[in-house]
Amino acid sequence: MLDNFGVFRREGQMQEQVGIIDGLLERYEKVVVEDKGEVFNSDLTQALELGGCLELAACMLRGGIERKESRGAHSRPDDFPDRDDESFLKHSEIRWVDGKPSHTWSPVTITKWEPVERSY
Amino acid sequence: MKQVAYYKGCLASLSAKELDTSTQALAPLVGLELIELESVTCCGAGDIQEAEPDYYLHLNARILSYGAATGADTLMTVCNVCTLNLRQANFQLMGDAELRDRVNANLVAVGVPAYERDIDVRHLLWELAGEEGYPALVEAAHKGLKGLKIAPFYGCQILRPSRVMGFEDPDQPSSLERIIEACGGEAVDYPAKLKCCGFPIIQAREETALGELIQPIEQAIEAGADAMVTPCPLCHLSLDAWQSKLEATTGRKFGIPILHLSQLIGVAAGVPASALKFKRHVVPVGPVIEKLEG
Amino acid sequence: MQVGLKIWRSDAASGKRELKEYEVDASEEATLLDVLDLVKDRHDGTLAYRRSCRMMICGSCAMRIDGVTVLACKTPMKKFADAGKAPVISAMGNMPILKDLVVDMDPFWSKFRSVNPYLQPGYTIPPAGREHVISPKRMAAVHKESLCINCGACVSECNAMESSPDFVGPQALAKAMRFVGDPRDGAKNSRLEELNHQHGIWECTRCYFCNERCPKGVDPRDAIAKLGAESIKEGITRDMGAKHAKWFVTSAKTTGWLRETELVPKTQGIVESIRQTKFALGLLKKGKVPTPFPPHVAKDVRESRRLHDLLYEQDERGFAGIVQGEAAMAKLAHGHHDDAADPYASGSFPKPYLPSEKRAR
Repeated sequence: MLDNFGVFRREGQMQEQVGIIDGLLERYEKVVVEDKGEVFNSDLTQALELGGCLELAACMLRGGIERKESRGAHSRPDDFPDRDDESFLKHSEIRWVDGKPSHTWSPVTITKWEPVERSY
Repeated sequence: MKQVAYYKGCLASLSAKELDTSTQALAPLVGLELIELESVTCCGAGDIQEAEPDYYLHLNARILSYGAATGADTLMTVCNVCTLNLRQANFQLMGDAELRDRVNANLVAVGVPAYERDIDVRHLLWELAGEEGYPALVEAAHKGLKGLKIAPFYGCQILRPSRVMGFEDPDQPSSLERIIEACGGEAVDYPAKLKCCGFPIIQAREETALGELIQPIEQAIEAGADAMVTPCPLCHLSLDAWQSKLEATTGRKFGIPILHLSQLIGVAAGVPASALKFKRHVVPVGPVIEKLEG
Repeated sequence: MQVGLKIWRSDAASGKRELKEYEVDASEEATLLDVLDLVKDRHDGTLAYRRSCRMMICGSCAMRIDGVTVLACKTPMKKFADAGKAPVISAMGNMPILKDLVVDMDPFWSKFRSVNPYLQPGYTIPPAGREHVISPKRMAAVHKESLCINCGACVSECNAMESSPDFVGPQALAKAMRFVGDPRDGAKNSRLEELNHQHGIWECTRCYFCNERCPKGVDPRDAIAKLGAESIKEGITRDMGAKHAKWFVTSAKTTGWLRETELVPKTQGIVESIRQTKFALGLLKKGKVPTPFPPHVAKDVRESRRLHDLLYEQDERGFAGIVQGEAAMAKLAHGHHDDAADPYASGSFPKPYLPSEKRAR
């Protein structure tokens, strides 16, 4: 994820990463927890956390792919280097539905601060 | 002969006189010329530090000052606690000019010379286990201990805190073992040799202290030791004088004699019994001496 | 590098305990924590240990290596690998073992809570609109105690607690000092009254293991001494430990040398001393009870007497008297084992130095 989906994101790498995560999710179906105990079973907690992280990674990738602009820590220097408020001033919401990410957009509520050019 | 300023501390002056007499008799045999400091007081143990820390600093500054005034480079101690207190006071004075100036102004105001020349505070243990003193020790210990099994008991404050003491690794020290072997004895190992004898709280929290004290005693006996040796007269008091209390509270018999460091080396170096003063010990040392001579 | 470990595995449920050996290939910079992670990942997923930040700030990973309590993330393994030695890893002491290297920290936390480790208001309200100003110098009185990360290393090694499990312990006392010394706290005296109980300040055996083990330089033993000093300064002297300490002061300013014989009744009171008569007689026979008369007076003791009076006026009493030395002590590194240095060679001491000199470190 750090290599293919850091701050700087590229379409090709993101698609590749989707494949990697999907592959890991499949393998996760057969994850082995060596520790069968009930006291301080960090093997179990780590396995559970792994599953959660994989699902989260899949959701993050979906969000990154759908957002065809650069905004803050999501930067697409090759294909969409600028911020695009007209098309993408909206929230990404990704839910885990039926074993895969499901993506929707929702409107942003602007109250005190209007989006402006980021300059110093 | 190496000249050292000699600070004997309270116990060697009073209830543990045997420590002083054996040290004084031993010193010339191992190349040490002792310049005894007289215008000194108790170093405060852990107690003056805890009751009136400023007074502790000044009392020790006074001892250091009189020590430096002898012209010697080393101030030699025979007690763990004195060593820690003096070394710590020394670091505080040498590392902080403003503090040193204040303390010196007070010393001078009461007629004590100011302390400016840094003097190195070392325990007799370090003098004899160290590179310089060790050959003299080996040569002096000609009578030998004939393989007598000795359990070393370090006592906390000769090792910790190590950034103040610093002579050796506090978790794997070997100075006592080195000395025991140089004297022809066999050093016996056991887990509690680095732990606390409980002396600081032996009056205020006797039960807790005895729970600590029993560990080195029973472990040393179990490891087959004929006697124990310690560089600290406070540990000596616990191990020796309070052994009877341990017997009373546990209903067990112990009876392992405890030697001061200078006495152990003294035996190996042929120091006369009149200087070693074993009769002052509560647990009889006689059997061990007989074993040596028999 | 190839690194070996011997880990004491234990299971509280079944009561089984065994020493298991592992060997992994780790990087040269690997710490004990890195090696444990490798063991758990590659060899044995059932290994249990606590860890989080891996940078010596969360306090989770305290454990024993060859009997010495350390933070696993602070312990480089290179010297063990180079020496070809596999150290023994075990759980901390003084706390019940739940599993492998995980201990039940409940006793630790309840002792911590028992000292009320939070500011209790009592400070005066500053004039309208202004903040409450405290000088850095004044807050320096609790600087070291503020460094505590609650790792438990000090508690693990505490000799007094080993003998007396109810001793409140070095961590709780250091934390207590952090608040006793805080000028914003309004409950100083009631805190000190509390801390003078049976298992409080005066049960510390002064073994200095806590100072030695603390990975952050808190020096709990010194914090305990500060509490003692402040208690005595505030007149809280009912505990035998306090009376014992005060007699040393009296001795130093009257005879110079400790008045040993009178120490017993002065500390424990007349009644207890009479009960100790049989024991005392045993010591008396050997000359271990120096006669109080004539008093054994050191030479020039008037200098000591005059010093005491002079210092009383200057009033650096209480914990301030210990804090004043901390600036100099901070210059001594916490870190003593230099494997390259021969301890028996001359020049191996940490030498004090005059501030004008350059440090050869």
